[in-house]
Amino acid sequence: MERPVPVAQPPAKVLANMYRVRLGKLFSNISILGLFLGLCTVLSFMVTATVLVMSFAILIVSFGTILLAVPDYLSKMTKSVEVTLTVTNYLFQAMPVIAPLTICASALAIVLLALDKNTKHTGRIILASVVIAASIILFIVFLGAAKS
Amino acid sequence: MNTLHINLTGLRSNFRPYLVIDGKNIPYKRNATGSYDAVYTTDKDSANILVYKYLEIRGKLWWLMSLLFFFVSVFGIFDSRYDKKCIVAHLEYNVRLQGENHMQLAFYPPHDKLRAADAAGDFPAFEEKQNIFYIDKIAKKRQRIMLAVKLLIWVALIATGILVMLTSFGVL
Repeated sequence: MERPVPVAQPPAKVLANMYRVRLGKLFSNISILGLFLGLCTVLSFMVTATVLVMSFAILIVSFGTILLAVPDYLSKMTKSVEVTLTVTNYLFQAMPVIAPLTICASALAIVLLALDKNTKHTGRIILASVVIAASIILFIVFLGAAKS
Repeated sequence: MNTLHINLTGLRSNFRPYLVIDGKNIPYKRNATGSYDAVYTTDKDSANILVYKYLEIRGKLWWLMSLLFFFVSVFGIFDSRYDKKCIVAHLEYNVRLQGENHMQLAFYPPHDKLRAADAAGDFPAFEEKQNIFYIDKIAKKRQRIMLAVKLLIWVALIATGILVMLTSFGVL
């Protein structure tokens, strides 16, 4: 066997392709975080609603006797709803910024990964497309909710 | 006009070498059987086939690009990992072509100092110049340097965070 010849520096085109792929993966990862935050916002809405419904359900089911057992039940209930509402409000206000950023990051990820001729990134491209679709839906829903 | 059909088997997601024939990067496509096919057409009666596995860290401005990606990816949180093993492949063949020619390159799993692939084909003449996997020591050294630099940045970042917290709480 011959002595290994050290591989020269990657040609500029190959290097540019490598950087494109790295940047594409980076944007793909960022878009996943954006979608996660969007889903957290939806989830926080649901948690707030659940806390409120459960609190009232306990009040109704116990025929108000819960107020005798826990005199400050109503204030405790209000406090717990306030906490979840603070988180929901914070995420809700951030959504008009997060959703467009997520859409942009996903679009960039698709373009950059699709340009790679050497390796197909089908999984990541499909994921980024799903993220775009979900982000658009979330953006429309939150925009509609904010206007109403 | 001579045509060279190359079939590459044994490639993995973390091992996709570049196929360069007569200085041109030839893309290859996955077929139904899971292997990869490439086609090269030339007027010449011979071809020089090179199969390289390049490492990103072997680039010219490796330190700058590495740091740039580190900061853009929010201190490496969103960055994809670099190849840790730094094993590169180097294969080179000179083949004589005549009409339609077929070549099969069956790659072995990457291991340092071992044969990279078995080649077979229906050429009139065939010469194997290089066929080996080896650890790129320069790339490995550069990776260690970058790891140390990134760790130092993280330590500095955490220390700054603690200082800011202590100052804001009035401890300092």
